[in-house]
Amino acid sequence: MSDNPSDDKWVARFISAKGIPVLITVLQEKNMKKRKNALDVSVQVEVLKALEILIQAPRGLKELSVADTLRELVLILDSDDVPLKASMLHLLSFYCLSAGEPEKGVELILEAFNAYRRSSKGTISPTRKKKKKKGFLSVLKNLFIREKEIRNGG
Amino acid sequence: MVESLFKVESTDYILHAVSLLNAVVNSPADIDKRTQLRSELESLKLSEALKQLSDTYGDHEELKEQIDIYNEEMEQDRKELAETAGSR
Repeated sequence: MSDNPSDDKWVARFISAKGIPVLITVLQEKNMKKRKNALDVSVQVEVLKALEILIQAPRGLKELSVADTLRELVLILDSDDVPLKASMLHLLSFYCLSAGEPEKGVELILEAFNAYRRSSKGTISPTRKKKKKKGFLSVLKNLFIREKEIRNGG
Repeated sequence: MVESLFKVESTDYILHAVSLLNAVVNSPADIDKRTQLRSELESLKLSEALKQLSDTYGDHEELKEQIDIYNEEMEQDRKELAETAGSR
């Protein structure tokens, strides 16, 4: 937190006024937009910067230590904007190092990354390519089975 | 994320990605947990990526520091495990 006590008060009031969920919602809404413009991305970067300040307060850190919230942050990896993704990675490493219980912080981050890997949204990672291929192959396989059944009078 | 280290050219992104990997891998107090996480990253060729990054961005002090942290912590755990195995 800053050396200025008025800043600390502002942070406490912002957290009490449920500011963090609002910031996460903004991030979520921007992330869901199919076409993001420069303003959307810059808002997301500013939200991440704000979160970094907020988690320096114990209550802010606690509010961010929620699986759903971290999952939402990790979804930013789907963005094409590299500086935005860099800001997100910076926030997560800062979170990890600030977490009062580092083990719990690490667990939540790993869980968020696993959820991201499992999700079908956004950029196609190599894992997703495999899934897509598998899906396509299974469609082909089913078509062959169906054709065989028809030939056999099924 | 490890895969992106081979492709992305932004040093800012690379620095934060390596910092996050260090934070995640080195945070657990349990050496077995750290080793397990590292071996997952190694299976994704993290050391190869870090070697490539060292060659490309060797003059980037902060990145060099993070890469050194990763290698040093890994080496330290390896020694500790070897000592534990030797004392059994």
